[in-house]
Amino acid sequence: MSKHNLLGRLFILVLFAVGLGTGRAGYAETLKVCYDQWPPLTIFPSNGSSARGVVIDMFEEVYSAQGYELEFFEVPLARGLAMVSDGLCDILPEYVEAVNTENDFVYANEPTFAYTTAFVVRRDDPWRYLGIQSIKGKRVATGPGWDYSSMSMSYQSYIDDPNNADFVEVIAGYDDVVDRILRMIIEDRVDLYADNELVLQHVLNRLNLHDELQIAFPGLEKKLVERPIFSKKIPAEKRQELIRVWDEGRLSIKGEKESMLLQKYGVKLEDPS
Amino acid sequence: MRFRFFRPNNLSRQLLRVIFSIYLAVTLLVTGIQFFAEYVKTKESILNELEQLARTVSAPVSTSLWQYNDKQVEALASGLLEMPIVEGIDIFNQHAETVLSKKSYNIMSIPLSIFSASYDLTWFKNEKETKLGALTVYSSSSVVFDRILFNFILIFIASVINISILFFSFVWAFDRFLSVPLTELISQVDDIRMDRKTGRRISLPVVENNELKKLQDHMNMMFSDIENHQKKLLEDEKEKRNWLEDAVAKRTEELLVANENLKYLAAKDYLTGILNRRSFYDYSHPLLISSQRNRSFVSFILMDIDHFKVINDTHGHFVGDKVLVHFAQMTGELLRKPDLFGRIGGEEFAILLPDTEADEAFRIADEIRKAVGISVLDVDGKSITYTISLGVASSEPGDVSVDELFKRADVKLYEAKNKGRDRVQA
Repeated sequence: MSKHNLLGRLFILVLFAVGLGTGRAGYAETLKVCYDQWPPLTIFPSNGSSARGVVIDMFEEVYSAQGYELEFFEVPLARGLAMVSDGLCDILPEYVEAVNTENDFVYANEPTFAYTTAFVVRRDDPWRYLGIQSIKGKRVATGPGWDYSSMSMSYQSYIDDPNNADFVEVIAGYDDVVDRILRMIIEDRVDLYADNELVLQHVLNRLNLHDELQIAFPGLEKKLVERPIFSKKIPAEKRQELIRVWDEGRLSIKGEKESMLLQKYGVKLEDPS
Repeated sequence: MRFRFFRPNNLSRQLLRVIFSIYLAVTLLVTGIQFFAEYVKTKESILNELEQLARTVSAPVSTSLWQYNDKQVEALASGLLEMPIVEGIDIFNQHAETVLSKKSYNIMSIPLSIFSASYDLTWFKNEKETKLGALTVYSSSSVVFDRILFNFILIFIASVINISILFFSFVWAFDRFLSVPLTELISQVDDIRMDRKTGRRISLPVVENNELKKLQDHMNMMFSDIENHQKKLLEDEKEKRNWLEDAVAKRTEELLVANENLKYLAAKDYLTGILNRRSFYDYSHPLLISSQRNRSFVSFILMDIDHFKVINDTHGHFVGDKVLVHFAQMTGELLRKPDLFGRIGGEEFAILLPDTEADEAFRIADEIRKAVGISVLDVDGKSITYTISLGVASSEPGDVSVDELFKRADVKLYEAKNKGRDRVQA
């Protein structure tokens, strides 16, 4: 090997190293993501599974493509909101759409999903939701603080009305609420329950309850729209950039990509409408 | 002290032991009954509390059961188990199957007594009651004991104080009212017994009008009776002794007389009344010794009635005896007061003459011979005459016994016999 050849190789190596360092400084920024448990959309990893849910997978898809690294914090929703407000987290992937000017965060433009709601009833139950009148006389299960107001004001009012207390089962708990409600439906203790159709699919699949229960459409009148929120502690320019990346990325994975992500968790959007 | 309490040798302590033991037994019995009553009452109270507790938690437990909220059921059960009175909890479903069972104690070491309160778990659905199961809450005797422990520590301390105060009060009271008076009583009885002083009586310093006072009075009466009895006995004894002394004196006097008579009879010849052979020698010996000491002389005359056998053979023994008596009387009249005269053989007589030399002795002997020779004895109309032969010997410085004089006098007597009788040979 000649002397000139050796110097040339060293030069190329230095240029490669410098270029690699410069590239990392431009793309390998870490985003702190706080999220709560809401299978199959957001899931805390466990010993048996590292899956983080459909929405988190979408986030990784979107931001990794842009050179970001994501650091996850599994927290309850209220804690996650507080951490976003305080700037400890940059992003919370899913939060119900609402207009509130006093928020310490900013919504993305593109929702994660506009979820269709559905009811779960016993397999042999012919009942279908035909407006609020149709649930009178039925025992309805609901979770405490579960806010259906954005999907159906009349449904929320019915649940909140003390006169209907004998027909409304308020089920408290943690991640087992839906499981228990489904069991109560099977045992004829309640008659119906409304939730995100993806959530209902996921639970029915997981508990293998398709023989006893069915998802009944139509659900509530409106869809449940959830969007990522970004901390106001992020400099505005940077925040706008992150929102832009999300908006563009979310739009780019609609269709087949989205279906594949959902299929990974055994669910699909089945809105018959 | 403890040993003395359990094995006392003192009446008051013995009584105290019995009373204290009874008191202790009664206290234990009453305390035991009290403890049992308190236990039953507290158990009932805890049972009521358990029922209230079961009733209170029945609604959330029912809700949790109804909603299959196992975590909530678990949390409620854990919370219940934290209650001080709850030892265990069982939740059953409508089929009486155990949904949840929690115990605060080790199942291998179940408390002494377990008791429980149950409450039916129900749910109203469409205005109709649905049975969900039952809730059973357990408690145990250990909880009851824990609750009544403080009261019983107080009762125990109070009992100990009571017993202690009573014990020392009893000690004082028994000593004051029983032991001290009894000890004093015993001491005074001992003094009276030892001193034997008449008229002394028991006088206890502190005696209330009780059994001890009566005992004191009765003992004093007994002492008086004993004294009177002793006086009477002494008088009787004195009287008996005087009588006995008189009787003894009288008897002694009679014995002296009898003794004198015996002495006399022993010393005299039964026929003639003069000294017999033994007495003659007994009396003669001291006279010989005395004369030797005083360097004087005694003389010994040995006399034998001549042909006395012929008198007996001729006139009979009765006459012979009369001859002997006659000779003795007649010779005795011729002798001096200190002279000894005795019959030493059948018809042999002897005379010891104190302070008499041979010549004087010969004279006396011859005087006797002559007097006998001229005397006539009348017996039964018969006139009896007889003669005697005499041998005289006087003492010599070497003579130590009368036998020496007897032998020499006997030799002289034979000489007199041999020379024809009725003569004195010296």
